[in-house]
Amino acid sequence: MKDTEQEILIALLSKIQSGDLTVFDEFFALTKKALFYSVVAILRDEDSSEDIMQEAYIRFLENVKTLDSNKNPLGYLLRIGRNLAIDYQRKKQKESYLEEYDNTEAYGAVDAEVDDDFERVQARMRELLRPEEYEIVILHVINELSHKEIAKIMKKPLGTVTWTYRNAIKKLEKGLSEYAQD
Amino acid sequence: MRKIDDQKIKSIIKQHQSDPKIQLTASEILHTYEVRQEHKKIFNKKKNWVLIPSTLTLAAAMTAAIVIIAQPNTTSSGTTDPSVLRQAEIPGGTEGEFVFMTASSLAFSDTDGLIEVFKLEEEKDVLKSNSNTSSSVTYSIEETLDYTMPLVETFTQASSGLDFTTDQGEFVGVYNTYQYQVQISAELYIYCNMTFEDADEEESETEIVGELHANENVYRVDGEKEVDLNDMETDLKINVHLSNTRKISIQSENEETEQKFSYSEYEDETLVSNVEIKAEVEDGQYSLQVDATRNANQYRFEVQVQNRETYYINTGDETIEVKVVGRHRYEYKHMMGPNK
Repeated sequence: MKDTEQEILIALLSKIQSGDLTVFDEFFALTKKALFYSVVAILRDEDSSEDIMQEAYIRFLENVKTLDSNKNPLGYLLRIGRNLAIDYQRKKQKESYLEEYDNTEAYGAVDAEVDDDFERVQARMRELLRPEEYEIVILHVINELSHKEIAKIMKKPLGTVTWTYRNAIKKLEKGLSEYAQD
Repeated sequence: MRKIDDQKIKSIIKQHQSDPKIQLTASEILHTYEVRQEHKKIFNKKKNWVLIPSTLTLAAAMTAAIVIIAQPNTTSSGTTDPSVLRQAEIPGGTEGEFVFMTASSLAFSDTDGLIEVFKLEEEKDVLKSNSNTSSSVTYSIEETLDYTMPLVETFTQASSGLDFTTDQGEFVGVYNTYQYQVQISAELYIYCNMTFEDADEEESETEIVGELHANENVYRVDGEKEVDLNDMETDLKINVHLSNTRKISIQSENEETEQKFSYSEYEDETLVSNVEIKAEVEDGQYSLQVDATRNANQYRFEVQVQNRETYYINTGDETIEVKVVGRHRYEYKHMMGPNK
């Protein structure tokens, strides 16, 4: 995330904290993509992801006054979204999602119906990567979060995040070569 | 540790990246957030209201609880008292609506013990003559006004302010134990439980079960609140059970510039009478429209609130000046043509 965007988000946070919800539109516009990608990386279902997004924003608003007004609130928002998504998944599967999440080798086969370029690449990435690797790549590459920020959101040591990301990149270099432009 | 060379992969991912089709909007989130906040607040706060002294009669207590006592009318004829209702809604949000709807059911009903709650002793005979529900009875506009004006008056006055206090705790009622108590006066209070049903994408529902205590009478109350998350509309429906076979069903509908209350009286699930009051603000103009149906008789008229003692009724054919001469007692003066 660019420094200017971070500054804007901090300014918006301050207004929301003072009860000015007229700026929520702008806050939403600046954060929705990041939250969406973060949640969909876990759930792999866009409809459910939007439900989780809504809940995440509401939880954010409910707790906004407790946040440090000098810090970028995106990390907090993504953390709520991630927790809600994992919780949702856990309930949905009626088993310990985290266990499966940590042990699963890959998400599964590519959806035959996928025809969108981005979705095809995403599907291929999910095929190649473990869920945790996929989530870290999404957070770093698409949401442009630093490894340090990701470590905080995922509550993992920085070294683990960096190591996982490195392994993911190695897998992707092999698996996504067909998408590389000449 | 060697620096990760991820530029190539980043480039591939970003090249194939497209904006996600997110249907969710900021206004949807804010609306759901506000609905939840309202639900948290509702019946979860304590207001400092002055309770009606218990020495007052129940009739006086109930009316006074809902009605702001009118100040001496110093407004000259032909102008409108600015202190009366100028907004198309009962104040206090859903909580105010709930209190108004439940308590005003007593103003609507002219049945059995309830009539004694609202009417003075000398009015009973008049009401008994009006409560004949035989299908052969034809109701004149004045008879229709007799049973609709108490509601109009209550609605108008309640719009200026509602006095009640809400407490959360454990309240033992006649039919159950309840979480909330809404005290309107010493003799008039509501016990209820609210169950928030899970909201889906389009609406959220809250179930209400309780009982209305009016002096020594206790009436079961049930209902539900629905919030349409798409249209941002809130509908409240309350049933006050007068007996095992008789009930008053009150429904509110809120839209951006109008608020509508519908009162229906049922006997053995058969509709006996219905009064619909719609308050609307359009282009800065406030209007109150009443539809009253009893048996085969149907009247529609507009109410112009002059002040708390004078109302003008426009039926389309004529204008009737209504003077409040006592508690729910009125004098009618037929005027030529619609009031300007």
